[in-house]
Amino acid sequence: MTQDNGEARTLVDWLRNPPLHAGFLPTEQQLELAHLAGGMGLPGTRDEAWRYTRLAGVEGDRLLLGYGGAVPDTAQLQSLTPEGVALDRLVMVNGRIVPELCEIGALPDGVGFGSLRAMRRAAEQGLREASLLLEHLDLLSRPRERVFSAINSTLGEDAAALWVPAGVHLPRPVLVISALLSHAGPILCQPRLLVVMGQDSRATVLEAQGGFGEGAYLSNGVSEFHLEARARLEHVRVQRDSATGRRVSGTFLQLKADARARSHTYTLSGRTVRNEYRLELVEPGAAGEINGLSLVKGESHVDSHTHVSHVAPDCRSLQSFRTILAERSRGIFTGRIQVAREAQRTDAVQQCAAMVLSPEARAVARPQLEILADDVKCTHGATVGSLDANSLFYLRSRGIPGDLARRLLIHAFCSAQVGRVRAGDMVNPLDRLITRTLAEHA
Amino acid sequence: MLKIQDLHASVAGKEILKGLSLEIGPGEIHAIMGPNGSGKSTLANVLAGREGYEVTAGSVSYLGRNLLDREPEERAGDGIFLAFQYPVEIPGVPNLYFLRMALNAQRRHRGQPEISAEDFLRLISEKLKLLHLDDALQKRAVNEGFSGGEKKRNEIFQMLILEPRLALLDETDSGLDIDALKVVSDGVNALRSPEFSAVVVTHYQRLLDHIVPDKVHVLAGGRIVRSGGRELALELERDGYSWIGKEAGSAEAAR
Repeated sequence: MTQDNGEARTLVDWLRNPPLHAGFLPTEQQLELAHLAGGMGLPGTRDEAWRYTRLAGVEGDRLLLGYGGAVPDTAQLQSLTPEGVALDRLVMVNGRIVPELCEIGALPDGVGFGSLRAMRRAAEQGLREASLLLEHLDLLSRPRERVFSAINSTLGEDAAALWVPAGVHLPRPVLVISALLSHAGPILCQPRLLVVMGQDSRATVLEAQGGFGEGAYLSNGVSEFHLEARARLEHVRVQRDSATGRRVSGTFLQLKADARARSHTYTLSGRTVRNEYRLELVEPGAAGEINGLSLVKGESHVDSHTHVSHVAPDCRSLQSFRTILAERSRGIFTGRIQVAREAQRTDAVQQCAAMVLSPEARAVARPQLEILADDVKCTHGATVGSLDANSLFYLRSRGIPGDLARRLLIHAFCSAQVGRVRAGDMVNPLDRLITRTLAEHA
Repeated sequence: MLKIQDLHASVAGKEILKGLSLEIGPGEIHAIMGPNGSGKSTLANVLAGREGYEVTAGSVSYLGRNLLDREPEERAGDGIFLAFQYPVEIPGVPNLYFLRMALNAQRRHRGQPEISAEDFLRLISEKLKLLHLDDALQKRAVNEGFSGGEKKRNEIFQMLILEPRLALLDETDSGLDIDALKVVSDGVNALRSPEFSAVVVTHYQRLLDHIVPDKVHVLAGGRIVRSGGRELALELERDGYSWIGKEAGSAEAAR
């Protein structure tokens, strides 16, 4: 383990010769996945799923791996923490948990929230829950098919883990901050979150991801959520990357009988952001939502890629994505709904709406439906529009200045997404976040 | 207060107003009538400053200064209010939030302090009562899911809150039942004072039974072809506009 950043190497070199640190995976698995990832190679624009998104230069970039010893300042931490919400906070910087920045209060009996590496040590010492938790690692993220999952498991140093035992309701949200500091130079980072929720448990999980510093970086995150029967999860993630920051994230949710999950991602900046989601409804009665809001400008390129898999009958899914694109930004949405032959009485909805604010901005929407069951309700809709001239004139004719009226209309477009968040204490902070972002864009 | 001289205006390259002149004094209510396509709505929109309405000649002065180089929000701040023919639905913006933002923007424009939350709510409940309106509508998004009549009433309600000096009512009465018509006319009459003027664009004389105009003008072919008192509206009701072709033609010939 290097305390300083050590040497910068290309991603390919890192995979060929991974640092044999005590990561969250045992060394032999780490090496096996490194080998696999090296063999798979990075996707290019010739891969259909990556047609619109280029991780420009990633292969050639020499990137630093590791913590480097820096910590975010108070303002940076504040920008990643929702205001006025009582919560337990875990802070990771360049892939490592920084204990002195964490604020974790008393949690209900049996709840585990902290370092995955620590959980591995606990498992080795015979703690049964820790072993059970670890059994879930990599089950949903498909490291053998998805190269970025393999890379994350190989090069990841530590991860945040949450274990909620059956029947337990978390009294307040848990927040996982993942900050990237690229002051020392281009950084390669593997944020990781593993959440396992027992039957009838409830939790609100917040993720705040942001990059600071002039240096370019590549953040490759994986978040896995396992929900046992009737578990309820609200997942809210805010992404604020730097103008040169690149982010790939994979979010994987698996829902058992009558479980409920809502996942919301707010992408507010970043050079290239690729958010992949996989929602698996594997037992009857499960219901999942994936919602996304991108509010970007400049050269930002945000690519959202969903895969909702209805395996069991009588499940519901909703995907709602809204994108606001200013200046030269790009918004791509590819939404896949897959309904297995057994998944009768599936109810699947997909909505995608883009608001394009400048002639240079561009939005793409690609719905992909694959339905094998016959008794299925499946709807999808995609719209691309600009700021409505009639609405704008209406507001101005009442005395509201043009720039304020524009902001009001964009905010209203975003509000529909914030309205989908059911964790009541998160609504106001998210609304303020949008207000602030719009003010920064102005 | 408002002086329009030889106004020419085009929409999408097509000339709609062709030399319209009109003068409205403080405290006066003028009705503008005329057949479809004569330019009534164009006039209202040009005065409010809607984009896409291009003034090619003529002048409009309001309170002694050129109106045409002002932004729509400046015109509103200076006291011009357009009641829309088709009020716009704005999902996600609560009515009261919007109205308070508009009122405060106008007050800032006039160098007045912002209204306090308390005073604002008092003002709202007072005007709701005046129009016998249900306050449930005000809690919803602007015009969202409102019926046609509710939208028109909401226009009048906004007008009462914003207290303009010059109201432009663009066919506010069309499609309204008699109760809604009463709300509209009560609203306008409540504002009547030596400082309040209005241009009431309408197809029907029935609105003018409730809002008694000082003057009635007939707009045809983009110009005012006849002006008179209240009795002109009654005459139009009886005889229609069939005579216009002839008169407009002779006016054209006289130029």
